[in-house]
Amino acid sequence: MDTVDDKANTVLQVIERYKNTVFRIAFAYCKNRSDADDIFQEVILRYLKARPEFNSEEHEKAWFVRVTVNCCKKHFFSSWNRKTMPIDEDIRFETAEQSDLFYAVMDLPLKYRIVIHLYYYEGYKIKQIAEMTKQKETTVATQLQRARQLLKTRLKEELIYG
Amino acid sequence: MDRDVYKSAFDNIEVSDKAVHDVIQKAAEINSQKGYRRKRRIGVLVPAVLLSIMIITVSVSAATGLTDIFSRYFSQLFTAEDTGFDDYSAEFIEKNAAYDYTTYSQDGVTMSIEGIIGDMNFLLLKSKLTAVDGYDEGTLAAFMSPKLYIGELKQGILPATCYRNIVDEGNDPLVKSAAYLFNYDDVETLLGRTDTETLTGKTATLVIKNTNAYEPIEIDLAEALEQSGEISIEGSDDLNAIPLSKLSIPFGNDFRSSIVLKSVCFVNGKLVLVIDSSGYYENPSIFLRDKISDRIIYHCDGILSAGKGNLEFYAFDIGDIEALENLEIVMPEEHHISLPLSVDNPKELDISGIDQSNIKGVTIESIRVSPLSLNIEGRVQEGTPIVAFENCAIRFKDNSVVKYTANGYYHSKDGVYSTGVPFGKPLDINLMDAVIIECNQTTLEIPIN
Repeated sequence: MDTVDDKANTVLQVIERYKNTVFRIAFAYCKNRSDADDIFQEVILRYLKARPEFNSEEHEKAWFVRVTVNCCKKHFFSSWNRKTMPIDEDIRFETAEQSDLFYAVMDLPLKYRIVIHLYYYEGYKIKQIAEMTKQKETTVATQLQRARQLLKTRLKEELIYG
Repeated sequence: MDRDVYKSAFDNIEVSDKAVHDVIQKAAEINSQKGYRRKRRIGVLVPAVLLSIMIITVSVSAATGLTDIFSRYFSQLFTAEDTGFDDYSAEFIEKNAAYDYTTYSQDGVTMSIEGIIGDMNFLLLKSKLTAVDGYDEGTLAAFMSPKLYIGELKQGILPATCYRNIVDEGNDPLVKSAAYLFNYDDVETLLGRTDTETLTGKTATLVIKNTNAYEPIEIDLAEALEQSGEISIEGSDDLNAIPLSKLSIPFGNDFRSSIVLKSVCFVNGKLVLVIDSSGYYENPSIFLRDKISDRIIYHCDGILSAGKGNLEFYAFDIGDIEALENLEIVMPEEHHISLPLSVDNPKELDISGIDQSNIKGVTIESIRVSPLSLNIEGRVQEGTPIVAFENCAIRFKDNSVVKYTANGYYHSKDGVYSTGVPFGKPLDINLMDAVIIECNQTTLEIPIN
């Protein structure tokens, strides 16, 4: 039987393992640290309350991604009379290329940002993103394509399609 | 796009130490709590399985359908930059008093639906919750948090976003006024655009899910395991390696008939239920309850298999086959209230006189106003950043002006731009004089009548 210390350690390990995955998805969604912090905390607390069982780390990560996306939607749309929040200014980039890309992505419409992030950062396939975001594969594929087109326009350069 | 550049750009985004610290503190608090919340049961015997589908005939109308109950409630609702609003609201309600009334009771809690109004973006539902002695707290909590689904309940459908306002009105008995503002604008991916054309004739379903009360599913796990052939796999965690039996046992005769048990097996000392819930409207959670103690022992959210179609795998840490004799599958109680949804046409404003030359990003094609919101539609100009119409106002005939903020999102699909500006409280269109839209240092003024 797990001791209290074992349980606490497990929780800490899970937080450490997924904190930035969750936060980055939330940030891509909300574009500001404050809301992303809230979502990060909500996801972790949901995990603690549900204590879902996983068969592998891949499944565990998929659970966190799916719940984060759900929390983002809930958080974003529940903010009544919400005003547009500016993107945080304190982010530092090593290269102009990184900076340009980051702000171009942040400038994308909401539904494109999340798809782009799951595809390019987390490396999920279209089918997996469709399952996580509860959309049709064709919808995700279309969103991905349109997001790339928008980025291409905004970055004014030839993109290398991944 | 180069994936490495993308990753390096987002590697700079990291959660703050404070947020981690805060959540660890909360985690410690949760870990220190134990046991289950006790339910307060009423003295009379209540059937364990309670599912009711009520049909409420509601004409969601711009001019009718309000109850005077709204009047004393709206002053506390959805406050925004509209402090001068209550007079309009009261007058509007007084003129348009009408009643659509129904009640629904369970476990000592009664929900009385007192009025509904809706438009192309929102549905506002006013209800009263009354709880008598010995009421079930879980039922009250469930009634306070209903979800609204537009269209048929089916797999993957998303509920409309809900903003609620619940006010205590009395303690003996416990009475709460509850108003829910549902925004179905964001379910456009499932319905296409949610305008009057697509909404008319559709059904909205209010789903009340009680996660503190469970309905047993009439499936004998031990027998199902026997029918499955006692499949047992050792040494592999690959769910896709599980051979499927010919089992096909639905979870019920009602809406849960679309959840079907396809296989029961043991994998590495764990009980695995393989389920096809492709006809059910959301990914189900499965709970196992001890028949003797009546306590929920196991809970699993399931894992969708990438390799086996729509099948989901639910793994429970049960190594002993004999334990199945005392376990039953249960799921949270659900109550469905069906609302035939019809939306009267909102008022279309004449925009021919406005100068759009200074508006960047969007060419406005229509502006419609209803008692609940303002809707702006147009065409997105390719290659130009879209500018949301963040600040809008209604000027009333007495020259007072009330400002509203766009709800922070819009959707542009195939070059079509659409955004909704909620009023928060119902307004009488007949008292409005003009819509004022601020955009890109340009102010548009569109007369309403």
